[in-house]
Amino acid sequence: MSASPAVIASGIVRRFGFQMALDRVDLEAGDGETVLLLGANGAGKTTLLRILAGLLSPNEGKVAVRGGSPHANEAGARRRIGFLSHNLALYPDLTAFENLRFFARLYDVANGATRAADLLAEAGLAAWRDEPIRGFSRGMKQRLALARVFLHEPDVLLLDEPFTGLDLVSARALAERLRAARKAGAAVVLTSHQIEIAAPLGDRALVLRRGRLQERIDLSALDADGRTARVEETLRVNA
Amino acid sequence: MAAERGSIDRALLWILGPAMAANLYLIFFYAPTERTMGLVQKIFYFHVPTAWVAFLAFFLVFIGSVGVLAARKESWDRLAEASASVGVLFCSLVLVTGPIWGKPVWGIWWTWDARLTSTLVLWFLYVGYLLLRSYIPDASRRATLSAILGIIGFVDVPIVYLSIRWWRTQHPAPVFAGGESSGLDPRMRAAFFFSLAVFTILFVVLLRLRMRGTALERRAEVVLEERRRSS
Amino acid sequence: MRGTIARLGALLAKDLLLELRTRQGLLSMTLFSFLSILLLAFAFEPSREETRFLAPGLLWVAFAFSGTIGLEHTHAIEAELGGMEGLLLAPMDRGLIYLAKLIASTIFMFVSEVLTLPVFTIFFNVDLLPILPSLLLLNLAGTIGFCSVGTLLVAVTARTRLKGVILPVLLFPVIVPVLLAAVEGTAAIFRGEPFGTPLKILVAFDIIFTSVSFLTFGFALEE
Repeated sequence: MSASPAVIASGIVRRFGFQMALDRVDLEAGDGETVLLLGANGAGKTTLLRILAGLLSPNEGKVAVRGGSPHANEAGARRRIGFLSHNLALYPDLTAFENLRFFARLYDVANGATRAADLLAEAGLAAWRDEPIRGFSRGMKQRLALARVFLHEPDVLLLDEPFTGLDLVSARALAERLRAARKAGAAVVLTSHQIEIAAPLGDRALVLRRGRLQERIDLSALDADGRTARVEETLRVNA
Repeated sequence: MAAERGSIDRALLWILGPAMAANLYLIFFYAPTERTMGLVQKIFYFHVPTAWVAFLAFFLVFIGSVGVLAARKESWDRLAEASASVGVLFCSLVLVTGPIWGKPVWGIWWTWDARLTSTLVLWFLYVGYLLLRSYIPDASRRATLSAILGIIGFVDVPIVYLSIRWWRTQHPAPVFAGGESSGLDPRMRAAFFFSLAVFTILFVVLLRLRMRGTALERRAEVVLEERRRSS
Repeated sequence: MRGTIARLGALLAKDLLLELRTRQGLLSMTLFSFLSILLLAFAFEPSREETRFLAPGLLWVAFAFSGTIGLEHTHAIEAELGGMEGLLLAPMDRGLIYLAKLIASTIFMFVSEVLTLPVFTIFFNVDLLPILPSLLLLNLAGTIGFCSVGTLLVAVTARTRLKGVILPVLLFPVIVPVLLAAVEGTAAIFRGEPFGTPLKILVAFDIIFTSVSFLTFGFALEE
């Protein structure tokens, strides 16, 4: 891990009404590290990711992404974050190209139009670039949303169930992309129910249960199959 | 701290009782009966002070709202909610005493007088604020969203008043209650200011009562929740 | 600064593009406006001389009601596939979202008003052509005022149960000054009289409420 981890969250507490969604959770992810968030539905994984992305602010605790608070957009933190949730953040009545170009403008991406076209081609959506995405399948929308995530070349990736709706080919392509990002020094935090695809990517895993940090696992020494097995075992134990 | 608060409330109640009695005496026996309007004019000693309190309460809603957004503490929201809950009562009272005064004296139930009409708009702002709160189950979101409305509403009040006053110059109509403090018999003036003070104390008493009530409600909820979670 | 303007432009262009493509917002707003005028014509018998005095008021009642529809629509387009989340993630001041929505709503409402005026002329027999520039200027000032608070309140009510149901209940008391000034100003324009004062009231309202709304908008979007 480098001197100052790319993503640091310490003592995160978040309540919704009386519900304690996160209870003093810590998380760190350094350059070139991929951290898996594991846990049952409602354990707090999505809430934690949203706090890391700056969409929510914690009731207590501190978050720093690349040195700045994402909620306040300090040190241009948000510019460096690529976030994906089940809210795809797309506009159904715009075409695939228009969607990407819009976000390229928001993120001040150089040569936005070209970059948008390139990413569309990579996602296998070039043939539909001028189609309103209302008619797209779930998988196509997911691929477009992922294109949006990588559009501005973020070096912090926060992904909530990114493999949802993807066929095997696209899922493998995404895994490849994440590996490439990791090699380029990006910090990745992700959740996924698809263990066979996600586990091999993880260097470490954090298990959440009812908002509390249950367990930390180091996967870095294991090979792909070893990681999958270890994660599956952990989930069984913590179910 | 609670004991201290309790003693302040008790002190206020001890003052309020006799003060109210003294107020009634001053209004009905000390202050002379107005020549033209007769006994009905006495409503003036209730109508105007309650109007003053209605506007004061909305100012407190504003203060509470700013506190919620700036300091993010629940106590500010309790101030805003309590002021709104009590304030709407006083505001309704103004709108009721107005026509009661107006009909026998001027022969009409309502006139689009600037002050009365502004109070009507204020009433809608109050009701809207309370209605919005009822639509938001989550406490923290309720505090934030209603705070925004509280601020917008309060900034609006002077503009509403000025625009209605200008509107009236375009369409002159009978004016309620001229200038209260001008041309008043000194005894009337004394009674009026005393009434003003008494109604303000009444407001403070009710406000504190309401705030204590919501604080207790909240504590009860917390206890119930903890019990539920540990079971 | 240039980046900010560029982002504002991108946000605005997105809303305008969406509207041009679907035309849903403008259509529903304008239709509702026409219907309001129709209903008011039934209620008030436009052939009578007295009705001409009511005309400015009737016009603005129609605008106010159809305006709430437009406001809802401008905000609702973010809901379908979670577009708002994308806006919140973007590295920019959240106030820009407010400004873009304000400008978009104002444009749509203004266009809807302009389209309603001929219908009004026909039904109420008022010749609007000679007074059109003054009328449009006043309309614009009033529309900005309406949308300045409306854009904020639509964001506030969007996060509540039953969303749009209470928007008019909250909005209308606040925009009483806008209605008063707009109606009086329109009446003055109809009579060929100066309308400087109502216009000034509207501009003051616009400035004050755009500022306050801009400052508090971010809080409305928080979870």
